[in-house]
Amino acid sequence: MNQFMTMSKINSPRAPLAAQSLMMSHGPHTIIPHLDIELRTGEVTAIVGPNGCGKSTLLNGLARIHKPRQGTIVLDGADIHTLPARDVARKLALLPQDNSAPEGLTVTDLIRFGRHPHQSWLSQWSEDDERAVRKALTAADVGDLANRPLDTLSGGQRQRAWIAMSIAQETQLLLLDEPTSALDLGHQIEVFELIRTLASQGNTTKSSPPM
Amino acid sequence: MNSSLDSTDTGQTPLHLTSGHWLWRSTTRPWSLLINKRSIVVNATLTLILLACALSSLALGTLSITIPDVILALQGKGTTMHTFVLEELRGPRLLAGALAGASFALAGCLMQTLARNRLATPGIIGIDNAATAFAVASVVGVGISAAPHTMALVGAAVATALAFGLAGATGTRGYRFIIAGLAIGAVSGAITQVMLSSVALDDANAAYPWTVGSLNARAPAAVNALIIGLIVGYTLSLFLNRALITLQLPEPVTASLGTRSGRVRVAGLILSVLLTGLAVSVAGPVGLIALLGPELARTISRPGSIPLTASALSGAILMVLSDLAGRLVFSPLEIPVGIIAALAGSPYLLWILLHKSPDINR
Repeated sequence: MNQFMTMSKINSPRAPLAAQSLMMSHGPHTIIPHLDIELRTGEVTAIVGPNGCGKSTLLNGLARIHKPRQGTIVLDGADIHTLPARDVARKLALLPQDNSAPEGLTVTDLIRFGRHPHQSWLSQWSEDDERAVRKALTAADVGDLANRPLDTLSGGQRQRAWIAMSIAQETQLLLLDEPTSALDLGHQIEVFELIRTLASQGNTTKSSPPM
Repeated sequence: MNSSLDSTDTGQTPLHLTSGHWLWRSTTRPWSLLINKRSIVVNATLTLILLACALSSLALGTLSITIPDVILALQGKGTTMHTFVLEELRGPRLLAGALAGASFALAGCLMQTLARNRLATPGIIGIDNAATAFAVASVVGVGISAAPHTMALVGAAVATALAFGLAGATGTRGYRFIIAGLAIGAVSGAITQVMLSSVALDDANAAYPWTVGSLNARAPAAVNALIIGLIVGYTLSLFLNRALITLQLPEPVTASLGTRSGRVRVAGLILSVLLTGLAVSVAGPVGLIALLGPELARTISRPGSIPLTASALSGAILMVLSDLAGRLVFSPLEIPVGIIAALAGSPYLLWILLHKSPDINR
């Protein structure tokens, strides 16, 4: 399953995330020579291609993990590299392909990491945090596993826990890098359905951290 | 799978997402605090153990003083002899040891977290060695007039800057930084040996405590600097804690959660080097404390937390115990604390190398 998907939710007049004349490279190797892309709202966008065609590189560029060699990434009308990291983290979440978490961490512990950009020293566990984590547990169907350490789960269960962490981040945009690669067919379908549900319910997912 | 995202009713008993924590929420402001019970228990227990070790360290030695007599003397009601031994000899030594141990271990915990590698402690990557080389250079008088403890701090900073420059920043896994540090440590060790072998025996003897780590050579000015440095460093590291926690996740996730990992790494590295340099300037290179303290703290702390406070307390305990053992085992002969720490710590280091993943999360 060499595909990853980019998914956007929330209905707004223009594309919340776009890349203009994007050029990405790893050292001397140009991975993406030139790319214009707009990710529209309330939609699921899947990017499909063979190994090594630059899918993950594109996602890392869009999520400002790596700086592009040329071109700009525009998030809600502003260059993503000029925005405060915390503001970006409230609008855009990236779930990479291979993930590892500290030994002994439970599913709930992991999902709580998703609330990090909404929290601060004075707001460590708000009612919004609690609601978002509960919703994520249900959405990714990991409620039964909430108190299980991640290292005791199967690959598929663990992947759903990571997806739940990204859901708890309550962002307009969710970039998932091969979210179903570790899953059996049944769970792959469930994850795709979950992604479609999230996209269609986009503008009902409200994030209002008290500041 | 439940297709309705708004439904949280799974038909089961409600989940307690904050079990094991104390939660406080302000009713008037958007403020909330979440305090982990296990951290409180761990830190309170470690504090009690440290107090017990401190009392033992005050009581035991060539002249044994009973605990009630120690307490009397601390209240100012002891005999002249007891008061002298406690206030002039054992008290300051205990303070220096506890502070240096806390500082080493806090520095170690910070650096391990930044590099995501349990071998990445300041001692192992050669910061101790470089600090020692500079201090020794000052003692044996290689045309430098600054006090040894100041030079130790300079040495720590120079070594880090070199390692940082050679490795091209810390990198995400910190391997290049560790290798560069190892090389700098080896060169520093060699320079120390060359200096010691090329000066008069008296000078070499004067520099000896600096090379093994001892609480005999402490300078009052260095201890004062360490007190201030530890308070500042500890406070700042607590402020970094929120960002440090996210460094435990894969690099792209850390960034996705809004942590500027590059900045956090540089800030943490500066703190770690400062704490190490100040600790070396008091106690010499007792770097294994920076490996053992955080490891002990991590074993008893909650998974997924960065045990900054527990590391500092564990480091203080280990340092006080090592020094006590060094004073008692061949009494009245004294074994430097650095040698005891090395004897106790080396098997542990081997065990990590042979049986554990260097990844801090495994």
